[in-house]
Amino acid sequence: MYVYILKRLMQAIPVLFLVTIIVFSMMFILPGCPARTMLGEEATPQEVASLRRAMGLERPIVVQYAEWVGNLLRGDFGRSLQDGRLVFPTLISRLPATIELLIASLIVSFTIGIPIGIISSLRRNKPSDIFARIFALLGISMPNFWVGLMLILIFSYHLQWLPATGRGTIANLILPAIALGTASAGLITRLMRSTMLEVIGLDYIRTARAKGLRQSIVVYKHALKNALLPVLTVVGLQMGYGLGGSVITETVFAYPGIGRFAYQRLMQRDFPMIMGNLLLFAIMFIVINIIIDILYGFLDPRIRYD
Amino acid sequence: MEKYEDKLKAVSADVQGLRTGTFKRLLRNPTALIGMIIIGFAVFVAIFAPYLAPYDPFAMSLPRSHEPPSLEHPLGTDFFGRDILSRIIHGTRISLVMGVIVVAIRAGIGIILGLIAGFYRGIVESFIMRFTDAVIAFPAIVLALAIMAFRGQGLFNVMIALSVVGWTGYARLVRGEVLSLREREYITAARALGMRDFRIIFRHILPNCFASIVIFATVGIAAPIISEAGLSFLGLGARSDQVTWGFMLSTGRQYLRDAWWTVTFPGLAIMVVVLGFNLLGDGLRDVLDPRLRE
Repeated sequence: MYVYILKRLMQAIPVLFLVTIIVFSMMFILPGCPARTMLGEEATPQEVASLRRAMGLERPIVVQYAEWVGNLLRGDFGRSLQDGRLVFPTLISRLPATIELLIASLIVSFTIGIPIGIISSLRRNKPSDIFARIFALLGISMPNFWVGLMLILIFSYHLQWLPATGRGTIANLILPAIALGTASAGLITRLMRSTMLEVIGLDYIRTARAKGLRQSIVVYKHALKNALLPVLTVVGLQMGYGLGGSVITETVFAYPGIGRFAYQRLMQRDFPMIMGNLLLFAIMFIVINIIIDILYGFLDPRIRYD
Repeated sequence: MEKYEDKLKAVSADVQGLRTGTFKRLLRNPTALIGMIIIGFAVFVAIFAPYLAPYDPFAMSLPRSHEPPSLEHPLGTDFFGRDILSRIIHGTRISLVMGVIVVAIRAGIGIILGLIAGFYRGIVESFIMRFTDAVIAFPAIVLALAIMAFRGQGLFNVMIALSVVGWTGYARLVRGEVLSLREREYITAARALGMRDFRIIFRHILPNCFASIVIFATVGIAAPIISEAGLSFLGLGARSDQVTWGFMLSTGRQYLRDAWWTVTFPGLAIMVVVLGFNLLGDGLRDVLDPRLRE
């Protein structure tokens, strides 16, 4: 098992290396000079030249990259161009709010997706199955920001049940979590339905039924355990999707997380913050997926570690 | 040698048979049929937008600002008194064109990288697949936003940003298909006949990946439509002289409390078109790849 974990961690190293190259190369996909873009068109050539020197842009790219990665390894992601604040601590301070939202959205998508998926598979082609499939399709077809706006319109403006903006209470979390979790709920419903249908057709389920076990025991004790495993892999992907979705959802709900902050800094062209943000999102995605892989190894003994 | 040539012909005949029968089977599949009707309708609306729209989508009339839905303006008017139905009809154009172009570019990049990785294997495959993993690690919309921040606002940049981020699925899919296809007998036969790699890849491997690519691309059109709307919603996509559904949502959002129709209907338009592509994708999967059927 330790070998497997070590192997999985080693696999992440080249990916992380390529992630840093992609983020670093962002600086150079600009049409023209990065310093000019940062300062704007009205900056004088002297100002541009001085920023170029300050940023070390005169040196060979490889040297710049090596220095940048060296700083990253020491936890130095640079300073904001807008307010001079250190990038890493600023981003980290926004992270808890977003993690809260991501977990809440996962709870929403799993508590909706799993039961509906199970019911749908057990009542195949019956009205409840058709309804579940329509729900799942609508869920994945609605843009999350529009769902968010509709939720604000109905539950905040008309019914006045829940707040439209802010953070601090569970009530603040409900609408953004539903907006962010709806599409995932649709995906999980579809996945749950198809894996359950697959598992229900297997020999060991037929054996369980032949033994005379009750339907509820066959479904929940035998089938569900195995059908849930593929759904687990979706968690990693959904976290990645949620990180992306948080940018728009947090903006819609004025939720003070890292997603909204990323959007604000993007609009201000605060490049060190943007690069730090991209890097942090990518590292989080990689780490989450490593954890899921290892967890999957624990839960499914068929997975071999060598 | 003749035996192998016969086998190659037989495989080609199978692929041909699949193509001719597909459309008929799609018409018999209710999911695909509803999807095709929705998409067909959207394409019709996009082509004939100037004839179908009751008003000029840019014609302002401040006295008619925020009129609720009525017989005169079935979906109401926005802050500037512009007819929302007409704007939605014109917005169909950008959404569909953006969806198709972005998917074509994504598929192009992904197919080429997937073919190379799967066919040549070894270090080339390792590098391409690790690079793919690295790109997947970035949430697509954030990477697209960053590219937009570096390159600036505009639909052309939206197209570039969305194309750069979404090809990874195609690369993984095609590589997977190639890995199994390259071991088949008819590929060994093609090699034995002395065919060059280029010809084997594009003539004998790629056509056999088409079923999966078509399903993936059809469902895939939905994603850039939503992403474009998202970027325009954040104020990074369309300019004010262009009509897109995302931009309509972005401007309507400020008046959500007083004029719900400015936000509700453009969002519904996005949902219906995306639903159409998802339905067609599901139907195509049932018809072309019965192994994947739910």
